[in-house]
Amino acid sequence: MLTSAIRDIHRAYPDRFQTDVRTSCPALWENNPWLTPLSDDDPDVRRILCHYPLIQRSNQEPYHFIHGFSEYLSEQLDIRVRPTEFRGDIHLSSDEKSAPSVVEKHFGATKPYWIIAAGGKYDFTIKWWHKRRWQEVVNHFKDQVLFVQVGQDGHYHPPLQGVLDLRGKTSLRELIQVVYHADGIVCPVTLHMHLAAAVPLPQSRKRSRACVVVNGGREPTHWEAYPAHQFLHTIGALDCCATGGCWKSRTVALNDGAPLDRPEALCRDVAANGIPRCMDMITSRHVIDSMNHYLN
Amino acid sequence: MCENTNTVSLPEALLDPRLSLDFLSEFWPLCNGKPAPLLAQANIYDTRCIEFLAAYYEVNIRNAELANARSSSAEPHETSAHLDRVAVALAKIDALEDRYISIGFFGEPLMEGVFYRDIHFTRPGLHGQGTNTISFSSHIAVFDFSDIPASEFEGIPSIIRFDDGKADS
Repeated sequence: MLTSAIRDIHRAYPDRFQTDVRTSCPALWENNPWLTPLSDDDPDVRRILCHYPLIQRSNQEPYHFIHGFSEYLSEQLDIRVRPTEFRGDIHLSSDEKSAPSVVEKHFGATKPYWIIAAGGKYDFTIKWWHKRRWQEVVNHFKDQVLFVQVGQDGHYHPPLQGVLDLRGKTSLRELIQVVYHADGIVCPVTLHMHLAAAVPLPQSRKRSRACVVVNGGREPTHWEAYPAHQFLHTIGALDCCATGGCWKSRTVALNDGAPLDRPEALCRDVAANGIPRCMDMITSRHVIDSMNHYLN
Repeated sequence: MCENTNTVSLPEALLDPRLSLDFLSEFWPLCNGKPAPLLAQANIYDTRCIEFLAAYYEVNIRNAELANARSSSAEPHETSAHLDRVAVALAKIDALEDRYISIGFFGEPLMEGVFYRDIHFTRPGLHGQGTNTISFSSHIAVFDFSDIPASEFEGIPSIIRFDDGKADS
């Protein structure tokens, strides 16, 4: 989300700032036209540790995650930055756009496909949906939709049958390219959801990239949902997310030493199949119907 | 609804099929490509693996019985009963997956026909892995060669200043 804030600072204040970043995901910044290489030792450079404290008010105030860094940087720099687009800001080189997708390389021909991310990191395990539900979605669209399963090595991504398995086989940059060519994405609240909006569309494409997001009750809808996405949630349907997202971290403790194991950070309502009640309430039928909004 | 203080505990009565007199070793899957340790020597991770291996072993046994019934031209009701037993054994794997989904522990089977031969288990990663901020600039200018002045390809390279992705000599 920082990419959008940097874009919007430069649009609001052309030529006033030079910006550079130090992040955990430099691949997201490749080809970014708003960055200027700045030295850590340059006394004229001001370093800002970027936060998005707006998240603390996400259940009360009508803001999207995309406002988070903009608001913080506006305060820090005494400027007024507003989002200019409802998306992050990922840039592909012309070579990346024209290169065949991983799917095309695999099949030797272009094929429409959807990305499926059936898991996530081990930090916020409460975001996971059930493997069998994902499989039911894949099975339903057999012979109709080619699914490409993605996910990083070391994260929780149980294998699905009947998909092109690219788990652990793409760099982040390659993943961006896979997203670029994808018709749609189905996932929990995760990187892939943000990429669905942030990665530009191929020139020939008229409609926004489809995305079906299984959220449950963790995160407030208005904070996470992008305009063209189908965002499946249970806010208001359970006591634990009666008026907003619960913002809990894990379904159960992992005993890995992380503060995310604190009792107050654990799900209060776990279903018999091991996933949070709110995620259990979202069925494969819901996801299938949401995908059909785009496909039909 | 209840307050969640839970972690996933191990079952109280886990039996290692390898200690059974009628154990059929050809149906016992490998564990991450190797023979699994005995239950008595297993840590918590190994124990979870053995739990899954025992479930896959049972499916293998039931599938072998079904295949035998079919090859001996069993009566339809007998075949049907074998199919039910396979379904019951598969349901045990589903139950194990439910049991461990909340901690992200699962087995990825390698199969030979209907038989599970090797199960590769995923263990949860450590908190905070891969989230360190890098210490160098994320600015990587990628531009078309046509944007670079031709003079830059001759003689000693000069310094190129990158400005909004464009090259400027």
